[in-house]
Amino acid sequence: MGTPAYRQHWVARIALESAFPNLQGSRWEIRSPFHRDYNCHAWGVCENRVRWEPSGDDYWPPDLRTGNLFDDYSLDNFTKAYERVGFRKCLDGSYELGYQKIAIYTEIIQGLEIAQHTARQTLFGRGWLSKLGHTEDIRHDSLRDIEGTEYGSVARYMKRSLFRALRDPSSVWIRATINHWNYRRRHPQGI
Amino acid sequence: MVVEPIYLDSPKIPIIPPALRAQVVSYESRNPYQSAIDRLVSRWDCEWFPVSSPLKIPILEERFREEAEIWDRETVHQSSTLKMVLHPSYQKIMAMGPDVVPLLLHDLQENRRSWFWALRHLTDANPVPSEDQGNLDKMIASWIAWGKREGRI
Repeated sequence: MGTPAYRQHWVARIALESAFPNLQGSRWEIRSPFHRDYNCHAWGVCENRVRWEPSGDDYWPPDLRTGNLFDDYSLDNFTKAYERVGFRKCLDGSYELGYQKIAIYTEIIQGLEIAQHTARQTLFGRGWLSKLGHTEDIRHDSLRDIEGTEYGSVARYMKRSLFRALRDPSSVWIRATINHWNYRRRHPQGI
Repeated sequence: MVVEPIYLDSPKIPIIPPALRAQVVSYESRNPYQSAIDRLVSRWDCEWFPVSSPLKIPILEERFREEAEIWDRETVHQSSTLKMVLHPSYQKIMAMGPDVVPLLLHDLQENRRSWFWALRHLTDANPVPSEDQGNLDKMIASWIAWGKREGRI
């Protein structure tokens, strides 16, 4: 795994708040170093060793469309990919005991609804976890906090049972969680 | 007295003393097709050898670094490769053609920036095995090995 980069806490906050203006005045915290090895879609399924994307270069579940930049980034293709790891569509992002939820952000580009970002609900529903591009992971209170020009807005919610989340890539899920706890212990102020 | 003509070897007009100007046979009148031939050769040279001069290489590298910095800065919060490759700076780098491949490989190794899409399209190659897709370390290693094998780095 590549070496993470550590930015000063205030540098990261200023950069992220200028890219996502809704974060200003909202409660949010940085949860990881700056890292290129995984992306938001991977982090949505608790994966922090590979990048998930239908780009033709990154991991994408077998037998699903990949490599076509416009058509394969459709909301439906992302929905099918998440269904492969146990998620199914649900109505909203409210907390449900025993379930793990994700929210898919989309944007309309050239008339197509293109998936741009995935956020995952925290274990006990106290906010959402987002990997912001190549930069840090954050925990934010509301899904609106990162809506805007970068990611568009939430178009779909999905959920899976926590048992399923633990079963399917369970070792990775536990490793990612331990990494983050360890990181937070060493960097109590964020970075 | 026999006037010795002065033949010009180039379309550029040199500074000629007034006393000798009557003797000048212009470049065009010497060979009426010469200018057309020169223009054609010059065009072919640009098309076939876009980086034929070693002087052009530092310019390409400088342009690449400039555009790569802009691209990285402006897409750092993007998760989607779609928006990243549609960025004007990425498109400018793609338009630099196959000569930019060594620079992409070097940058991939040094800064781990995601040039996979450009590399795949500029080289018509994909050395990353399907089981390694998404794993940045392995993808970079595959491309670097390919570059060494093909003599691009």
